[in-house]
Amino acid sequence: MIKKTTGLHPAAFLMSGLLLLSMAGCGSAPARQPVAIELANKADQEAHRALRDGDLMRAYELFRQSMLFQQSVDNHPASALAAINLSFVSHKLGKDAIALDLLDSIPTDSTVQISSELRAAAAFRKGIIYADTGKIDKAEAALQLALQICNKQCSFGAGMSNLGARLALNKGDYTTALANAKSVISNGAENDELANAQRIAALAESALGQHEAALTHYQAALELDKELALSSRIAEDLRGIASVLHKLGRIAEAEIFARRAESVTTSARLLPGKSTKNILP
Amino acid sequence: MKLLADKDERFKNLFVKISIFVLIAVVGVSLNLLFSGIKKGLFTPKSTIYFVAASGQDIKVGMSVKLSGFKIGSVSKLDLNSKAEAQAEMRIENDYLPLLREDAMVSLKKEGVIGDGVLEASRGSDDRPPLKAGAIVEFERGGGLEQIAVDLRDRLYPALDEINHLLKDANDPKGDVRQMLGNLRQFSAEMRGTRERIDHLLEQVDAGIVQDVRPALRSVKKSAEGIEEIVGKVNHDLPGLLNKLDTSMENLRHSSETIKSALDNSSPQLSGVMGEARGLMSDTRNLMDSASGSWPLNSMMRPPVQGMVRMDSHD
Repeated sequence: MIKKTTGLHPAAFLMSGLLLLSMAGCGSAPARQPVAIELANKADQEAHRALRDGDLMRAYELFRQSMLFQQSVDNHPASALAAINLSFVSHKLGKDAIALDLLDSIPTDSTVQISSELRAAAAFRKGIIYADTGKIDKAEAALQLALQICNKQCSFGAGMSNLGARLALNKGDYTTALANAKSVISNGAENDELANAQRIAALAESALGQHEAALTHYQAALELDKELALSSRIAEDLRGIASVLHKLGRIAEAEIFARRAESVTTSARLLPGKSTKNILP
Repeated sequence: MKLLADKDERFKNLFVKISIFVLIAVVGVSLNLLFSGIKKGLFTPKSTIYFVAASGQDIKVGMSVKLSGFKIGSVSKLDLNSKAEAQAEMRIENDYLPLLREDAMVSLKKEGVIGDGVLEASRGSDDRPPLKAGAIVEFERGGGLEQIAVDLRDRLYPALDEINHLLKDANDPKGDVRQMLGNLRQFSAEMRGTRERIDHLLEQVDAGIVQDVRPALRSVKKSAEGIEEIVGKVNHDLPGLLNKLDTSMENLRHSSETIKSALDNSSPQLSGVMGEARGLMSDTRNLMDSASGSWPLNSMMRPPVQGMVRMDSHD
């Protein structure tokens, strides 16, 4: 009868049915979470999207919402994570006091609810903010705390080494800065931290009078930053190359690189919601 | 011929057993029908009430009639009367009929922005006697977006006409506003001439040329006469101008009141529309969330980024 009405062999008909059932199983939507958690996750996702689009104000508001949702259900780890993200955006918006306040209690949290990775991340972020605002001593203290909590187990170890190198550069300790940066390069890291290490190495070498080596490291940093399409870093690399070429007496070439850097900076500034930031000392 | 079943003990009294089984099934089905009928109000006594609408558009047989959000009946019949109007018959449950008064009305509304149409009954005045079976009640269409748009249009058009009229008056070269401005401009120009003459006179005085003072004074006199003439003209024209200005201002105030009243009357409906739109957006968002988490869309969409923002030692 099945064959007569459908034109299919009964076995084929049965298989189709089973296939349909299995597809229906795949198609079922994931189980819903409580409303507050869903709203917090949604705000977090939208904040990341806003951050990717360069809409810092929206990202700030959404990370804040996410943090408040998580705090309202007493979810310590998730609210600490949202606070770290909110602090990142606050720092980008120039609200450094707020950014530091948000991180204050996380690294020293004595409960076991917040993981050491999160506590170390908070301390690391504090170090970055202090370094950017020129408070080198406080940055060093925060970095030491991060290293101590982390105990070489964190995923951002290369970043911490680079921050250490930055602080050494700030203090004029070019040899230590170069050694730290070279250790990141030799141990390998993600492209963004690798580019940072190449740039720090180039700066240290330039300060130590090793101009040819500095040029090589700047070129490597430029290639990586172009892959990542980070305007402010590309401009910095180009300016660095121009400076080294100038020291080497290759004035005409130096001027070309300086003009390229200027062009990159100007174009980036004209983009809506974008701004370049001097990130190296 | 004896049945084979008779030889088996189990088939003894087979007819009785089957009869009982069938009877139980029939009773079960009947009870089921009875209860569902009671639940759906099939056995609830109802009375017939009528209304007449200019058009039968959006009115359907079976459409619910609600009072304060509760279903009290439904449309049972829809016909064209001798005047080519739509005559609808409603069956209202007797329990609820006393709640409606003789001046009760039914209005056609929508449940939500894209919901089904319903007839919403209003009770009528408390001092009127209760509605009786067979009565005819008033009908109105309303509530929908289209109706709100038509209401707004009807109220805003006269106001806009008034404003247009005022603007035309202001732009008309022979209108009061332009005339007044022209007069003022002329007055100002003449005053400038007068001031120049006085300046000239003062220069002459400074030089101490007494013989020149007399003609200069004559000039001053002439200017003063000019001013006097202008002031007279302004005095003559000003009351009329002020009256016309008053009328214009009154028209403007009237227009503004019309617009305000239109907005006041529409704002409750607009806030309702906003609420419904917000609800619709929320439902759509829910639907999209659910759809994007389900196969096959979940395999096509990029997973959303969550968690910690990437740590960068330089940012």
